Amino acid sequence: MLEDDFDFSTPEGEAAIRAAIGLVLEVREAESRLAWKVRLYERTLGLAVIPVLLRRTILAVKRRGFSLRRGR
Amino acid sequence: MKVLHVTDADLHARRFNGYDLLNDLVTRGIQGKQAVLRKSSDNPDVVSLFAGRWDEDLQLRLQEIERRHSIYNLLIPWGRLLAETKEFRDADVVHYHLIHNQVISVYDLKWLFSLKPSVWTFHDPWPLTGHCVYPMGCEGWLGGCEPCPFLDRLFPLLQDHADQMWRAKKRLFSEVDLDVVVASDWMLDMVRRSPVTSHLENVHLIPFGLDTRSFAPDDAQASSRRRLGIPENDFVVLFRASTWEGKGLSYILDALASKQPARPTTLLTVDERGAAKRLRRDYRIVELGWVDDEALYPLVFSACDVFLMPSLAEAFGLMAVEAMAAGRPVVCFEGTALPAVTHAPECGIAVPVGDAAALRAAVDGLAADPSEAARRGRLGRSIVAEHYGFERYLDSMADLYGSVLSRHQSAR
Repeated sequence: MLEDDFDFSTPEGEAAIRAAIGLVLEVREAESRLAWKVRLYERTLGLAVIPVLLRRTILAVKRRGFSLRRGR
Repeated sequence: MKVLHVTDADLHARRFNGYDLLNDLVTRGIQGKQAVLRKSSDNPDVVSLFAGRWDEDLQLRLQEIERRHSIYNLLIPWGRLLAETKEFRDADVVHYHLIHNQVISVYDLKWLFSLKPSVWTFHDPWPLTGHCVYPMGCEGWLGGCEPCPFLDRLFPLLQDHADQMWRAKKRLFSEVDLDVVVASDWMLDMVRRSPVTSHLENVHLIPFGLDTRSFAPDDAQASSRRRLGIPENDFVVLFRASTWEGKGLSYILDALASKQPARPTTLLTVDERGAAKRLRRDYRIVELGWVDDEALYPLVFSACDVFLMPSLAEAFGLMAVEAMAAGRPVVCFEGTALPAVTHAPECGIAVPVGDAAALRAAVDGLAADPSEAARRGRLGRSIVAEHYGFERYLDSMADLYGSVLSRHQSAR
């Protein structure tokens, strides 16, 4: 956050805003890279699916053990 | 010659944002392209500056940052991306239209204007004010907008930084070589009076043009009414139901509610639905919502008997001209561009600002005297043919682009 008394209309204010726009574009560029998207997936959706996969794995293992026992 | 039109969206406001010029100026040897934030047409001559949904998200984040800091149209990066497009690099002239909707930072405009010969159509007084789109009676814009008594007006600010925004614009216009287009004497007068723009030498008054062929003649009224579900013998009052204060809807509703109509009357509205429901007891109401069907749009005007446009804020008023092209009388308020655009009092009827009773009296007068309404309608159509024809508009724009380009070439 900028100071409350920061004057956006001065040449210094203009320079700060223009620099900030450059920064915004750098962030945008970084965000659009594939690596960033993969990391985002891992951090968010990727983590979210882990409990589901774990549960499915456990169920599958249990079923396999059950059918093996019945077969005996 | 190649001209790039820059605006917020392609199809919304296409009649005056450059989109309809893309094809039509080809006959004058001008190749048109358009750059927008959001593209909704499949026109290959339109390029979108947003690369995907993540840019919509970025825009929302930037809008929130600007809102929190009470600034507007400063921290917006799309102007930099515009300059990187092939369309911008190839253009001989760049024509800016509706760019105040957080399309291009005020601080990037100076740089963009230095790259290409530039034209900016002032569609409203926003370039002259601290933050509002229309001052609507406030004269702060003449002295620096300090303090701003109307921070909640479009585009609202949380803290009073209107004076800073005003100074930022003043500095922008003091340092640029720019051709400005205005569509009305009213807007020209504001540009001449504003300390922000009064020094500009290249200000051109070019009223918008209208393809009058698309507006149906009188004998189409019955078929237009059938198509819209309106009884043939009703008196039909058309208005734009926009709840934005600048369009004056509350005055229309007050005028119509003040007494029962003398004859069966249908209220035909475009834009927002539900705005006129309190009049349901005395009037038949036909609400069309936002009409972007190019075939349906002219029928709206041919179906009505009178068009009400009591705007408090209007820099031109294309809908009034469209009603005139369809041969319908227009009733408006004084104090905007509309009285002059509609050639009141001979053709349009202008009543004092905020006077709902006078608005109602004008409507009743036209309902009681169909021959007077028809006379104003005929006059309106001839005024449109003389002053707002599309061919004249195309000629004026082509001449402007030619003169802008040759001046910049000779200055090199």
